[in-house]
Amino acid sequence: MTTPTCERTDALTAYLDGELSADERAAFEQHLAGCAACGQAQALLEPAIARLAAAERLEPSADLRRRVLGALEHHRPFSRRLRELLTARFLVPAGAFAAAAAAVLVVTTAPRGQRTLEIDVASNLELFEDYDLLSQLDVPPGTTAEDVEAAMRLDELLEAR
Amino acid sequence: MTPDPDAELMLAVKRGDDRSFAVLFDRYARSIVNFAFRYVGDRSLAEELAQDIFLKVYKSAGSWEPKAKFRTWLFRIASNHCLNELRRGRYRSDHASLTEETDGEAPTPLRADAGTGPDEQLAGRELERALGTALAALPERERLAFTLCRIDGMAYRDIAEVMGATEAAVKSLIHRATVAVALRLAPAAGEMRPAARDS
Repeated sequence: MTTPTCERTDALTAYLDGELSADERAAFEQHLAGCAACGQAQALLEPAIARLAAAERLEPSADLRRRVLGALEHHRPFSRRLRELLTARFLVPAGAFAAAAAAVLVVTTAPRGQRTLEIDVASNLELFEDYDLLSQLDVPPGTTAEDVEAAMRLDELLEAR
Repeated sequence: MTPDPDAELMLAVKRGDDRSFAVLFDRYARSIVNFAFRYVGDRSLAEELAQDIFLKVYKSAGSWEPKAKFRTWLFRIASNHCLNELRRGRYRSDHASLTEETDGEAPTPLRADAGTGPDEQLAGRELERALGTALAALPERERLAFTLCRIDGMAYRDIAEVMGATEAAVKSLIHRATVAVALRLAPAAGEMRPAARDS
């Protein structure tokens, strides 16, 4: 059987998908009205597209949700894990130390104590600034899973001490 | 330009808010699982791929910038991951039917949108079989464009962004793939094969 051909058949799918501009659509509709090849292709494509749109879809399982959200803990970005590590190991103790030191020195109010307080506050401010700088860090390009793992080992090393 | 409703959520994830990530997961899990399924043809493998994809997204949150739509960025990650895994040979692209049993087990009740009557179920099985066979025979880029368009309902412009291609190229890929699949769905229509497919 001879198949009629038309060089404009390519536009048919976009036409059926509503992807042509208003002008293109009007022009193609005019063409379609008098083109046997495009009419034949339309008879093939239109019902197929409708069937595909109605094809069934899978629903993700509850287990997938549990697995993904449960794994977040182990897949935190490098910068976040470092921040959390520093918060737990240094910031909280440093904050507590600073508060304790301030309380003691406020009670004594001696000139020497005043100087000590200033030194303590200055050193803690520096620590906070360093932490703030670190928290801005992102994962550098080329960072591997091994790098992240190595950074996380810091935690274990501190515990070992 | 319409603001991307997912951008705020992703920025929150970037700041460390895991609840926002859960919202994004709930919003896109179905799309991603179905997208992956069209590559591996197996429910559990599709979920495995989807898990990898979402964890990649989570790990990349720090480097995400709201320049492109979140959805196109997500599907770029998904398509790269699926193609890479297939090329590595970790998965087999056999496109089994959604409704066929796997390894002798009864199908898991994950289906949605399926008809309830026996005729509808039979039609659904035939459609899946034909679609699976047609997709397996498509070139990689045609399959990707087709899947994004017909399974995930993406606009040509967004597909072009995901694929790093022009809209004209996407239009052509989708047309060729749709004709190939339509011919599988209606074998009797083989004689009506449009000339564009041969070019």
